[in-house]
Amino acid sequence: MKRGVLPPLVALAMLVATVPALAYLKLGTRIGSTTANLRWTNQPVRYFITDRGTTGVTSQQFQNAITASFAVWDAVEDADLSVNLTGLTQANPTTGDSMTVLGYQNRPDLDRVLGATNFIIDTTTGEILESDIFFNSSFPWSTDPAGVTGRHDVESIAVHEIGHLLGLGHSALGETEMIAGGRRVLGAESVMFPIAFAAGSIHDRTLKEDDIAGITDIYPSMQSRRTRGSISGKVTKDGAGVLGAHVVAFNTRTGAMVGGFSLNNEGGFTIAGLEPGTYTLRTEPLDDADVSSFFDSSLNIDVNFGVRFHDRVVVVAPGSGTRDVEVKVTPK
Amino acid sequence: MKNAAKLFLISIVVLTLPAIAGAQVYSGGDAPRRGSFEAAGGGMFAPGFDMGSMTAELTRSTPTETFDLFTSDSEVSEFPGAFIRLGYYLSESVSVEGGFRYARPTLSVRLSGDAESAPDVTADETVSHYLFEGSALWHLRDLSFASGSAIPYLSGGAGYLRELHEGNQLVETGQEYHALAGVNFWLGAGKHRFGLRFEGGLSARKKGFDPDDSLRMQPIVFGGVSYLF
Repeated sequence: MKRGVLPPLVALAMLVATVPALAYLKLGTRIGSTTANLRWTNQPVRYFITDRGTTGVTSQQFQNAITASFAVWDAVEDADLSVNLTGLTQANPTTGDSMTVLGYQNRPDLDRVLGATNFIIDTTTGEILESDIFFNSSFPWSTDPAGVTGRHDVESIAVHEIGHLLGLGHSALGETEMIAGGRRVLGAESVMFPIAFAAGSIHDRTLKEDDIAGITDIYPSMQSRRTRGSISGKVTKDGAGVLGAHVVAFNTRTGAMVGGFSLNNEGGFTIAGLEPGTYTLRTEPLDDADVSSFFDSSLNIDVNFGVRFHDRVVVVAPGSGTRDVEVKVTPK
Repeated sequence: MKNAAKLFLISIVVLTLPAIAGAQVYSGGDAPRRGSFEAAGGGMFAPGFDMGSMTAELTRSTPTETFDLFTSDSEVSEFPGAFIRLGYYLSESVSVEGGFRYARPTLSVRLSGDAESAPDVTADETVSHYLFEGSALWHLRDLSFASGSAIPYLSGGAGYLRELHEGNQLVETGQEYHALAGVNFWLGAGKHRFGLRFEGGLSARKKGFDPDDSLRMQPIVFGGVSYLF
């Protein structure tokens, strides 16, 4: 659960409970042999904002940026989601006070962490009971509408962290290159990509289709159940299932991309929350961020295969799922 | 006596019509004429078309730049198919008809230029193309040939397009407009008779599986048999 820039900085979601990212962009918790997605069942999601700014950002500017970031997710029409700013608080974003708080904390010890999201969850149901987000005030911040070079945009980082707060894990919809000391983002098409753009970028103020599909999948509205669809199937290599393959559905009409992962030893994957249309599938190994940004380190994620396109157009109809798509990959 | 007179008059009409047709315009004996029906069916063909390119783009830090992950080029194959129509003659020169076309074109998407060197692939699916159409026909009897048995006509009309992707769950609808020129070769001269029918022209489609919102013009040809009754 990492976010980095050049030099790599990390927005780390430190999870209080053991909640491995086991769905394509959803957080989940193991209950016996099944996985429950993390979600807020009591809505609106009520949150507080710490009444404190930092260098370059007043308390009021911080509040405005956080409110705007929640509004970005709240505005997704197909997601049955509501949020509510309960008020300002002097409390810090610490876990266990029964308050969901977003605020600054000075953590110079976390020299690669821009922000982090913590949870308290009901491990029997996956219900999120409390979540807190801190922004590391040891970094330079800005709320300038156009962004400021060298300063991290509060709203962009907040939109990403709030995505976690709502139950989303990381998306792998991005490309990076290795540089001295870490990775550099070449491009990303999801706010939930674990590595952030360079300081000063405001790209992540705006959700991409991958983010919208994810939040719609977790909080589907009655309408989206009728209007959106899914693709499911399996990724295989030499006849055996591939665990942890990144599968991207590309809408041939709009160019929108939504990613998912094969999540079991049979290579099974599901990409939900898709707009109806025709899609092609691109499958790649998880090599553009640390595997630990997505999966529990105990899992044996297969990265030994080449990038591959599926040779059939996959059709997504409203309110239904296209199943049994088999994507065959070959060893590198 | 009266019956005998009737028989005589009818004989005259029948015997003289061929002469009139030969000298002026073939009027088809008892048909086609107002009130006649024409059933037709056969094959059709329309060429495929390019549906454009789309690039899978990732956003870069720099606001105006993108990172191109790969490119897709979509096209639809030829439309070999079948049609059936039923027409009604409002007069000797004008008829209206309704019909149905069916074809199974292939939608292909060429995926290439992958940033991580994925092998190029052409992904495809077969689409079921249904068109419910209505037309008005103007039969150009003055231009008939082959001893009057071949009657050219002009046709224009519109249709409702319904296209189903594989799995028959995703339906896309649209409109179709056509302007055609054709000829009927009537085999025989009876009220009930068969004929051959050929036509071609332009078909303009909008929407359906085509992402283009504008009218897309396609040449189209038909060939088949007719039955007049």
